[in-house]
Amino acid sequence: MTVTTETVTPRAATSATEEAKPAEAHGQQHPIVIYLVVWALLFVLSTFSYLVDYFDVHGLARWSLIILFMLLKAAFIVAIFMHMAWERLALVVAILLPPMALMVLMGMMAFEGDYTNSDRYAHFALGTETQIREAPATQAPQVAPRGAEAPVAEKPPASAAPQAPKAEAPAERAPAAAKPVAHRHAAQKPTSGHRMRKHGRSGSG
Amino acid sequence: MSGVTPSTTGALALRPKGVRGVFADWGSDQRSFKSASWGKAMMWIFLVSDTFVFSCFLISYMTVRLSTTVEWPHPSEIFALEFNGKKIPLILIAIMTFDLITSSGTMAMAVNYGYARKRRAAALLMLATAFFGAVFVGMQAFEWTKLIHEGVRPWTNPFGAAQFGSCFFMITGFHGFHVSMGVLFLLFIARNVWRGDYDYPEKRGFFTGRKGRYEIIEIMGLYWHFVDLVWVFIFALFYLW
Repeated sequence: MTVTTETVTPRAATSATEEAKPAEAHGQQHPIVIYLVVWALLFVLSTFSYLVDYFDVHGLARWSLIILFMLLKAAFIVAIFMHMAWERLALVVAILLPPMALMVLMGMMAFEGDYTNSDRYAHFALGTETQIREAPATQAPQVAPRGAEAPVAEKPPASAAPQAPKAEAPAERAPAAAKPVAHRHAAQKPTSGHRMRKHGRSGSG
Repeated sequence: MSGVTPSTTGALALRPKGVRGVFADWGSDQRSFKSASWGKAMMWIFLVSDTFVFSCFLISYMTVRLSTTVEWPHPSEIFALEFNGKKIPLILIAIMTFDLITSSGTMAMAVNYGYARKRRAAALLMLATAFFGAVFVGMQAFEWTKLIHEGVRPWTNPFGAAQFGSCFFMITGFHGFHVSMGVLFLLFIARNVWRGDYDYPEKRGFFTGRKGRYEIIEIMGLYWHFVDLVWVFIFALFYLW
């Protein structure tokens, strides 16, 4: 009996020291308060990001707040709920580093999307596709508040019935005729503000 | 407490920490993840691959949204609901977000109770998680139905840029599928925990023939929290942007 207790005691001692370093060897068991606090924090952060939309915050403030709350929430979920904070760094590095490659993809596709966008502004008869398709149905609410004069000018042909089926597919591919080009340059001015906003968005990812 | 890391229980506390620990672990000529069992490591690796899938969807969404010359539809108006004749913007999505966070909270507590060997409490919390997950899927079905009735299709919609529909159905559909599978996964594990499968050595998995461990709740939890994590990104980038 005494012999066995003596052999057991040192083991118990080591496991006690491990218990002091939380959960590395014994599964992820932590005080439940931590989860409740993070839970409450996630609620608060979600409310904040919802309020950004509710109060209709715009521009730089909008997307920086959205990104900030998003990253905070993601960090809490990964670190606490998924126990990443208590894992060994070898696992953390193996799991979190590879997705960083996505930043490269994101950067390339932001560049590409931006280029495509400017290409379309340079070579397309703008807005024809959706306007022609949608003008009969949702003319007034659709075109008016988006703040471009160009659609108004292009509307009359759009509402004509025979045009609609033709424009459905090939509108994007159709090279702009000489007259629309001149017209579009006039139209480009008012929409540039809209483009600027998109640039701001792309920068944030 | 036995099975989590069978071979290195005592040695783990002695291993170097920090960056030196990374090199020591990876250069040990043994398994690299000293603190994680194979089950947990494999779930993490699966989640990394899933991260790439979802990122591809979100990045392609960014690309088409950047490149279209047509105004992007306003999610804040599209996902508004009317209460007492007053329109509240994006309220449905907000409720879905809170629902999913709540399910994440119950899941985290289920993991805790599992390791504390309170299996009834753990099973009930997992059932609660599954319930919140099912509610989420239900709200998503409602949202899809509403949008489809309003004429949103993957190739067109009445609100603006045509790409909105394809992005919406692809991203939320794939996420909803993950939630649905997670609910099934949860129900399955909850049944095992409730029966006490992981307490009796003679109980073995029907597929692997191995003895299960309470760690499965944590592994299950990793999946569930990941689904919540993806929703955080979808909520911010698709609905709020």
